[in-house]
Amino acid sequence: MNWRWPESTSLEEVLKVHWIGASIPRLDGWPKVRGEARYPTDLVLEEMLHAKTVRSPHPHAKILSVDTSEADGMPGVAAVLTASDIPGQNRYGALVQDAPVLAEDVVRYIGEPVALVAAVCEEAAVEAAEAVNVEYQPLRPVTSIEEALSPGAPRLHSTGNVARHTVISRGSPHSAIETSDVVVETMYRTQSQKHMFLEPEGGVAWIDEDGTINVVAGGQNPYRDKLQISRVLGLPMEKIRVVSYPAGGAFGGKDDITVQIHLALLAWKTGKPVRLVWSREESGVVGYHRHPYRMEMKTGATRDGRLTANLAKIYSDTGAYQSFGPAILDVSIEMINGPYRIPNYEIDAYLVYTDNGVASAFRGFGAPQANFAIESQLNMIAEKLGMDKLEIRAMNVLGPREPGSFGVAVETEPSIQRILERARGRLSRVGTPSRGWSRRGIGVALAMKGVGFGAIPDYPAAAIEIDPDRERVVAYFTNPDYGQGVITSCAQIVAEALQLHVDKVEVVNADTALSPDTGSSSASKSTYAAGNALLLAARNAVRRLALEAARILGVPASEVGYDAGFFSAPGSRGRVSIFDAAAEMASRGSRPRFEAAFEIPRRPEPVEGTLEVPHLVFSHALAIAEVDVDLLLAKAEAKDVHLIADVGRLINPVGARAQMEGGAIQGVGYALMEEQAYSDARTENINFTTYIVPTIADVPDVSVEFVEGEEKTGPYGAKGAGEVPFVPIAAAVADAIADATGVRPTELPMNGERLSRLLASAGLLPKRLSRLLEGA
Amino acid sequence: MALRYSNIKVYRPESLEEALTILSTRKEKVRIVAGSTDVTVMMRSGTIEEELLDLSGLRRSLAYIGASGDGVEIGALATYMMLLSNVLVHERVPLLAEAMRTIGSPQIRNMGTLVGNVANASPAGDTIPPLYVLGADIVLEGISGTRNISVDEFFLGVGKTVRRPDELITRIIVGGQPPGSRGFFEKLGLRRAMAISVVSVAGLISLDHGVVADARIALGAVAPTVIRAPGAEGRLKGEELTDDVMWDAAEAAARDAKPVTDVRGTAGYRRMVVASLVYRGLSRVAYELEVAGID
Repeated sequence: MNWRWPESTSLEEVLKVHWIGASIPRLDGWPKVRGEARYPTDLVLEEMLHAKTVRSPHPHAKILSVDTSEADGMPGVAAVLTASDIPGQNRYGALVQDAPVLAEDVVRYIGEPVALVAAVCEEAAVEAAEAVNVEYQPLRPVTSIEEALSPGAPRLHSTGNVARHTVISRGSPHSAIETSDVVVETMYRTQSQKHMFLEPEGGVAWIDEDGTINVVAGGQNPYRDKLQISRVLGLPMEKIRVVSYPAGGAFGGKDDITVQIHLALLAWKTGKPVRLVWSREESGVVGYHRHPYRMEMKTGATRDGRLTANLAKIYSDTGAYQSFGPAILDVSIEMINGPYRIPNYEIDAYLVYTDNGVASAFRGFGAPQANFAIESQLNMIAEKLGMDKLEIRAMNVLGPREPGSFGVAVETEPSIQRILERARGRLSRVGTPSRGWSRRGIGVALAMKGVGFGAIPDYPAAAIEIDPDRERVVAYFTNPDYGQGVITSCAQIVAEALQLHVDKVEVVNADTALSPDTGSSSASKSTYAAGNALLLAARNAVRRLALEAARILGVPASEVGYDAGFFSAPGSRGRVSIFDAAAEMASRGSRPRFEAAFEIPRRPEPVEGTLEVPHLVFSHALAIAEVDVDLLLAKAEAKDVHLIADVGRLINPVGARAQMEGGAIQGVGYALMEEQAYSDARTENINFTTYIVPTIADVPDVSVEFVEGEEKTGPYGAKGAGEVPFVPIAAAVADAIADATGVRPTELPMNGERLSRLLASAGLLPKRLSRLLEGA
Repeated sequence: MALRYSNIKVYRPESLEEALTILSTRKEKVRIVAGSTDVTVMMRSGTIEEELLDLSGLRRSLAYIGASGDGVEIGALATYMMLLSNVLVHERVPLLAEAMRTIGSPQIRNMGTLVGNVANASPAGDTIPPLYVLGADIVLEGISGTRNISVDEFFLGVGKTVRRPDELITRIIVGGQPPGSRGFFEKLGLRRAMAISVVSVAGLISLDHGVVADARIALGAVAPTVIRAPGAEGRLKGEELTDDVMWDAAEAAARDAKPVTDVRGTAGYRRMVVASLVYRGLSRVAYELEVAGID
């Protein structure tokens, strides 16, 4: 074999080849922009039933009785299911199965499912759902982190209201704080954020002739969904097929179970096809959201700017159940010291139950909250010391391969240093100067985001089939493409590995019946995980087909080489295409399909008290934000965001740029306007009218530059781009507001309501306005 | 009980007379639909009658804009986009045009109508404060006759007007901006487009040698209906637009407001925003005067 495998390919050689670094259009782009793509919620099946969920109107209540007799007898009703109809385990949850599929005795959030109805039409289902008579005894709800932890609070679970408490420390943090030259002490609060994907949670299910339950719904991890369905239905895994492609957006909000188990249950019980789609308002009330945080920070530094100690108390509101809460808390713990050398620290982290819906994964996965806190702390220390904000970072940032807070390096090559170098000189305003009531400020924040699950084992598997009849290579993997572009980047990786035109590559995505388990699309790892697995599968394909080629060429296999789709051997006439070799294999009854699994590198044991700390691979990004603050209207508008990022080698630069821009825009929404507010465990921000996301008119100028590092463990050097652009935006925007006004926001979002009070408290709002605001 | 879409009865009259006849029999049972930008939302939230009166068959007669005295006459089916591309509107009621540009999105402005915005009677309806300061007559037609109601007598509360269930607003006659007067519309939403007003303010200031001869200020989203701000207007009359006067008027307007706390803002914040917007609008007028060298 004279063809060298990617891991031994040098940077120069990678740059010579075709498909890595090529901004080809999205393979699934045309049907989507033309409106031809059929999403799970678009599917209509013959004799399909329509389902509706009966939900709790109370944030916390005892269920006294559930009476379905009226609904059962209504015309057109095919099934009314309650907890007692569940054949297997009535619990689900991505990490710990603690959430009832249908509530039995207690409900813990508004909208918690109590019963399911399926009927011949949607209207009949709605009417039957309203006819299910549930008798509740309302209990006092737990409405905030503070209330959950207060003595005498109602206990939401038998273990109490603390789902997890982790303390990690190093050195002598308390005495180090006392002897620090400067100490910044601040409390930060971040809000609940909704994913607001355009396609709400939903899909269809049906039963095959052979008795397999098929579930097609937007999701992020079809194999885990399948596992969870199998537990609840008490059915073997092979009786269940889950398809999670295409999904109309996810952002983490479809990572844990949404409709999949309910769909499977209804199809199983009725024997008929069934459709269940949450309305926008249902999605608004019961769909997942980002964990709100309270963070109490005390950070010290020497006179010359060296960080000495960090004391961080982190409280995360996971809502009624854990979902990904513990893992998200891990990421916050891992990020709360930033990529900095901090010899002394104490992290005291709590995951707390409340009745505020259910929090779960969301782009950044605990990193944005922690980043807002630590980066704001660093900017304040720089201000106190009169230091340049890039300089203080350069001084404290960990070097390549230098062990960080959790014993591992945050970079293997000088990635952050290159980013900081590129940022030099950029911290001066490029836009219009301050005038009238408007003040222009510029701010900065640096972020990192782990790629993958850290210490949690993860073995993504994928397959490649060489189809000799159609002369196509089919790549099978299950990380769903919900818009991030993993289908296209993986097709490019396969084309590159097999040295074929990308038009020869097709992708079958996110179907458990057709593909091995590649794991989730989450943690910025879909291209990294699937790409690596596909590279190994491609290697297997070439190795195996080289044997067929040797047979055709009549030479020993050891002499066969592969180049640009053809096998050949020195001294032997002719060459054999990879498709002919596959035809040879197929002619003897073997399917030319090749699987492989990749082991994502990890530490064998997590840091004590955590599930996934530490990560070994990180993407990095620095954000510079320019913001206008109107001191008359107490309003902040982001005008310009510049991102400098290292996400590894770019497989598809336009796709990577789109991830950066999308992350920046969603980050601006998080920073300035988005908030799912809970009051007495109720929320009113449940649709696009009341939950405010940025429109195109609110989007700042976003520019992106990449510092292309080469990740040794990544496919062709790639890391992950999905989350890191989101992470630094809120801290950078807050810093810009501080630069413009002299006061620093410490609560998100920095909307007019909060900003007016902040400006008033600092005497920056006109006196007469302050008086009106205070109701005087 | 959920609304069954299949149960909705839709009337689609081909003439005004037919429309008025349907209204005279169905009365409050039927919801009138023009651009459908509000009705669609109501249907989703289930707060709507099960009969719709679709006016789209009357476009020929009701989708018009014409001159009326020194103002404009706006037919019931004139969309925002029609109004925004009409030269009469820009010449005679530029203040109204300014307000309409802030409504929704291009899609909403293509479908939505000014008369629908008035009929819906939301205190946050962005065309209503300009109508208050410009002066407008709402023309109501029923099978038994026609009546004209002044805009400041038209609204009774959130979603409530003096329109009788058998009447249709066929047109609105808006007064023109007097020569020498200056108008402003200021709005604060939670974002730059597709935003319902947290507060909106319309002002019309007539000046005589730099002295305010007449001042009309209307406030949106701070009371059950759009309201005038008599305190602010009184503070301005007979005064020059000095910084003190403008701040006094702004503060008076905030005290004229009766805001509530809701999903878009607290009462205290809204009151502050009233003053901010009034001051901002008046400053614009003062600045324009300064630039134009008018005193």
